[in-house]
Amino acid sequence: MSSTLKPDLVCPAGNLPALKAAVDNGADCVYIGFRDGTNARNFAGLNFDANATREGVRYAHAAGAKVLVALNTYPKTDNWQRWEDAVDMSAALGVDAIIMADLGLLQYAAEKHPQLRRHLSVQGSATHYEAINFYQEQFGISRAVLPRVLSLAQVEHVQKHTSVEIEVFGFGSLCVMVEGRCALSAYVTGESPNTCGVCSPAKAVQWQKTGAGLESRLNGVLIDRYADHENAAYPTLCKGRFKVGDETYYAIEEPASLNTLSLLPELMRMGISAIKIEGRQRSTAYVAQVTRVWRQAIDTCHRAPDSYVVQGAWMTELNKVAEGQQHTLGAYHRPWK
Amino acid sequence: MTQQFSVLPEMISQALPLLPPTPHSVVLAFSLNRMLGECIPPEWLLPLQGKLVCIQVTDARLAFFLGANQRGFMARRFSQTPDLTIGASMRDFIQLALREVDADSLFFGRRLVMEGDTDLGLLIKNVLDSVDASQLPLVRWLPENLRARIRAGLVS
Repeated sequence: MSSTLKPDLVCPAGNLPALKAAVDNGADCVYIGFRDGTNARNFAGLNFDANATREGVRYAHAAGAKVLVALNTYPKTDNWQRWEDAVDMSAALGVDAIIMADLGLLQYAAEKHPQLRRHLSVQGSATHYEAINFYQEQFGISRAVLPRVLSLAQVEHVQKHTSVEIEVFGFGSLCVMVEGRCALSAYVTGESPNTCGVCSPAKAVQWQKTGAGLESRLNGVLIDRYADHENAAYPTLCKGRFKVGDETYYAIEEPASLNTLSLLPELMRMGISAIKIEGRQRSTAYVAQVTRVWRQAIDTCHRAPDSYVVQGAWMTELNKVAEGQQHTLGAYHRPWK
Repeated sequence: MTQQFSVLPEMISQALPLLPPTPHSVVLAFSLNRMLGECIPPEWLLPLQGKLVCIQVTDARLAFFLGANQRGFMARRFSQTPDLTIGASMRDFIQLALREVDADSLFFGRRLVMEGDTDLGLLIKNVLDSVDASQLPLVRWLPENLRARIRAGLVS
């Protein structure tokens, strides 16, 4: 058995069945959100009310797993109370940690519920250890989730210079990776993930089959047109195909899924505390499949990091649920760094 | 997806909405209410009231028309202009119902087609997803080990 730290497997759940599937398939932590704009997956019918949260906490704790609540959007002056209530509700329901980005909210939680663990959300966009250590000094954060902009060498640099636990993204849909700073989608919908908890509000999305292909539009703006053989993607502005000069292509970002199974030995050697799976908007089948694969991978790597290899069957399982045409190591793999 | 209906002779397509809901729509609405009944709070279906959802089983050339009232899902009459159309093969619908596949994965792979009111589509998906299969009336009578496997997504 290796002596390295075994990172927590942090899995998403948009509802109670998904939470149970995550726990049953080996998640160490499950992260959830409430049914409003206090989290960055604010979709109709998704997420947890107080009763579902209570049952989720009971179920997870009975199995030795933890429940984390994402309160990671930014309140405004006219709706601050809702975020404050969400912090109080999390504490009352006995969750294990809250994940936040807003400074005022971090301060409120630290003062009102000092015993409740505080994690810095990826939406906080802290990319260097000075920022993370500042959050630790000011608000007593226990863990920080790193934005997906850092190379592996930069992740290690952060990890070496802080005593805050570091959590990194391991799998799932990518965004243009300016978490917490992105207002791109608001350009066509007036709503951004930071303020309203959603990149592409469903009310603004139209899918239409036309003679030219399947078209996705966001508030009337053509995002993409898929030929019959092409995989579709989420209709977000950053993943659209646009005409630039004479060329039509993914001018900002190509839809792709992050998959870092091959980086596990390196991440574990660095002492990363937790690996996060994206996808609270996905269904139970996704959560079950992805959790099962990552549980096996982390356990295998922890037992024998030197002989660890990514198994073909794991990739096959994960490819089934990927967004876009391909998997990528994202910013982690930048050999020039 | 809607082409198979637009080729109907005009006289027939005009008469269809006057007919009562088709028997299979009635059976589907009844089955959904019977199976999901107490697992879905009626207020979750409020946005469906007054809306018309067409579920097309593409390979079977079957179309179900559903809406909702205060009591739950209800069968609706044929319409050429539903608010939302969801289409997939019989096999994919069954796998979705059994939670063997993820709806977004089917959608990325172009095996699940959704046209019309996306908000409504997402709501239906999320409402059905949030039903705890192990609490369904039929499943509650199964032995605990089998229910645990259903929860874990190992069997359906």
